[in-house]
Amino acid sequence: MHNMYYNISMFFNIDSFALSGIDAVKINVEINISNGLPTFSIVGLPDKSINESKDRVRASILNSGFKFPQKKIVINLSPADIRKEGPYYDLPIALSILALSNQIKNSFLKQSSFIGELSLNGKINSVKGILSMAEKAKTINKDYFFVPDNNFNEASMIKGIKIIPCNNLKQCVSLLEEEEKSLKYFNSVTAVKKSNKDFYSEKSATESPIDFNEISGQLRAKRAMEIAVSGFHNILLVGPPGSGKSMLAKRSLTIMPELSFDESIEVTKIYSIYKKSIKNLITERPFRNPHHSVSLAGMIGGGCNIKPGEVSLANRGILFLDEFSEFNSRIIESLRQPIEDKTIVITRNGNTFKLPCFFMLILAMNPCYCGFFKDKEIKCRCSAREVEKYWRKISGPMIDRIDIQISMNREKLKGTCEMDSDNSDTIRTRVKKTFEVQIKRNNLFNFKFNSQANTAITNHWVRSDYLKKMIVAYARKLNLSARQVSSLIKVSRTIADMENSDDINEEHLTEALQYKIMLSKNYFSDMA
Amino acid sequence: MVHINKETIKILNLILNENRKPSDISRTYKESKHFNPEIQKTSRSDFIYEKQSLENKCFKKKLEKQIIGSLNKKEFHIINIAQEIYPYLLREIFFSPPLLFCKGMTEILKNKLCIAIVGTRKCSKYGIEVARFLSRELSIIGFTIVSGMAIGIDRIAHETALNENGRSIGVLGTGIDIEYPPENKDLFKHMLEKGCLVTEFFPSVGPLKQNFPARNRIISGISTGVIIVEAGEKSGAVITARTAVKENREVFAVPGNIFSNKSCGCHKLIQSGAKLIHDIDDILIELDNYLKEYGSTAGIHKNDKGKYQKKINESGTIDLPVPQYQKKNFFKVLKCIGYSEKSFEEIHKTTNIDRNKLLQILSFLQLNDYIIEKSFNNYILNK
Repeated sequence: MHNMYYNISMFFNIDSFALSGIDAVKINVEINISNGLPTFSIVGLPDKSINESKDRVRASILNSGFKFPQKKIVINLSPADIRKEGPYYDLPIALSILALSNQIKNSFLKQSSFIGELSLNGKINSVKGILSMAEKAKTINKDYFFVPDNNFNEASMIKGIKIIPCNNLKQCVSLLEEEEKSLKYFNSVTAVKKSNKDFYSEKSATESPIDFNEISGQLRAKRAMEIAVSGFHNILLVGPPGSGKSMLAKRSLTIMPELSFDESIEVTKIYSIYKKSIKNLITERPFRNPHHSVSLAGMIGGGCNIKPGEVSLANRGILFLDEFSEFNSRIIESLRQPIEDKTIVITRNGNTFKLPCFFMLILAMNPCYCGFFKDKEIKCRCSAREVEKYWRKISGPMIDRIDIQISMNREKLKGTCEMDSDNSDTIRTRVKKTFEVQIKRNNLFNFKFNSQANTAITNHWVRSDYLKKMIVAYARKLNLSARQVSSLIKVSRTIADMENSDDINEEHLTEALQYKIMLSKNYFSDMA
Repeated sequence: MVHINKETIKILNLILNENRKPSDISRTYKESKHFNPEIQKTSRSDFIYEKQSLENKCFKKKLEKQIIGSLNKKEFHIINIAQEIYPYLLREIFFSPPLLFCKGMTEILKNKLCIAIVGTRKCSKYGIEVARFLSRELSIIGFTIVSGMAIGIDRIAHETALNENGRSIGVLGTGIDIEYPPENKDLFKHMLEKGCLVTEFFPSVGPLKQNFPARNRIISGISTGVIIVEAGEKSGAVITARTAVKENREVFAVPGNIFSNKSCGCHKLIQSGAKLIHDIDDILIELDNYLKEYGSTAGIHKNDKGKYQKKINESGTIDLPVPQYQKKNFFKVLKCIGYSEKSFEEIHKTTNIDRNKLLQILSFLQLNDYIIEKSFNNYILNK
């Protein structure tokens, strides 16, 4: 009590975190209490929700049975040049006030970091992006990280730091009284968690009710999809309504191997800033299927508080754009850079965020407005000009970035559903093998999948002069661009990898060419 | 300085500075073999430049200067009615344009065997196939294909002729320096390299709807006959046919589906006496007189059976390596596909070839034009 009344000015600080993209940065919550008219202000580029935290902090301190000092209180969130968002700092602010007014006895505040939103009654609510923050807390060598109760599972995916879940302010303060107490509490909660096995393994793809062998016929398309998944190539499915484009696309996920641990963390981090609390580590690859009315910010990411868009949410998984031709052309074109760079850089309010977006793109569309262009039975009602107009929406640069193009037809109704091909599990085992083969080779050059290779590397893949000649001849015939030639080699490489062949040979190349014919100059030559 | 024909300058002067009607100029020339300056002055000109600029003297001076400048820079040529190169058939029509602005390979205009292929802009797949077939066959025989540089049938006619190493004349409805419609930008480029563009309109005249019927008169004027491939009831192609009848040219029409409104114009023409085309010979028989007279200059001969013989096709194909693998299977697959559409699954079942191998084989056959994917996932032998 002595300090409270006679010192002119007192200073204290506590560590917390802010999000920048999917990564967290350390934020120092500084507090200064001095004599003067009782005021409470927060500085350091806070946004509206942080300014509102004044009232929440005051109410929760009082409602938890503590005193709120009648002094001039200034909170600074440093570094002051980063814009801070969200109600993350309620808990550290409240604790710093309590610490400086001597209401927390001894403590290990300096070894700990805090995050959490306060309710008026003192309850601690969950926040977004906990996973990245826990990772950051570990790297800056903190011993303890106090998180909201509901965020515990998510934060405890990071090992090597003691995560302490708190339900309310009062509990938090009592835990801070003695380090022993905190340790004991930590051990008890981790024990509970370990006994519950469900925490780590989410339902795996094997148990999913859909399977690849439900698609009857469509041998070409199924093969194309397997190649696409094996090398993470972008694929375009074109066919009349009812040919099974969406069905095939949805089943593509079932033949994808599970995420590796590092990939899991990356994916979970993205979802952690998207949703408020995540129960488990995400082990299944994401499958995003945005409707064609999606906005630019929804697709790419952005907004006032940066939110990951569909491209980032599909990271390490599949982005499926059904009815591709219905998408706004601005949105279609905005996909060009993410497809190429596998990361997206968003700039808002002077802050730049980099989000990963390494996805496999599946596009599905009809061949024309009526949907029956080049159908065997039903006559297309579109004029040649309409067909051309329809296809003009897909720009050249976009077509350039599609590795595999495949046409599909409507299967004849047979009355019964024939299960005539391998099931998802079998295919997934094959894909897994192909993954291993290419990762083993490509690791030398710091990339994983064939689709990530650059031109210098793809040129190196084709060794024999004969093949080089063949590529040039066909590229001329099909009028392929340099990028398309490079992607042709990538697809050939994947096909070769599927057979575990060291070199690309003529057969692999011939098959890969098959997937370039559709959008080449000659194919839609029926258009005026 | 490029030498500019004296008569060309004279005609330019008559039209631009002395307000003479172009139709009067060419008429008096045809009557008296010289350009008589005594013809009546007119307040209204023919459709050669835009109406609002007719009275503007300043505009005319500028235009004349611009034309002379462009001629000197060889941006285009002007052919007048008195010159040898002026298409002889065009000289015979009621209103021959006294001046023709040309671009590209002007020597094509010397060719005496021209045939027009015209049709609707909004053509169907059938129309495209017919236009392509006729244009290819006729240009292989040695005809010069004339059309209107529009989209649709016109475009296909020009494109196919050029691709078959044939000749093609595009008649524009705008000034020679204007590329209309913009969709055909690539065709314009192609035509400048291998074909010839012709117009009677002065440079910088934009696309005006009243000018296109006038353009149609030149299309039929240059040609020995006009083929209408697909035309709606009020299509511009029907106008071309009408002018062709007036100028005593042969009119051919391609029949179509009676339920399709795109063939309605053609059917009306056939009803009123146009010749129905079923085969290329239907055209050749009607043009027998022309072929006898000018055929030898274009390299067309009658063979022993009395049929006109085609020139040897010189179009080169890309030298592709022949696959050394699975040769036996290739024939098996080709035999299986035949002339009726077969889906991939059907071929797979009949031939019993492994899926991945079959994909490679089909890919190879398709790439080398042995087969085509006629409808999605269905293959057929390429004719």
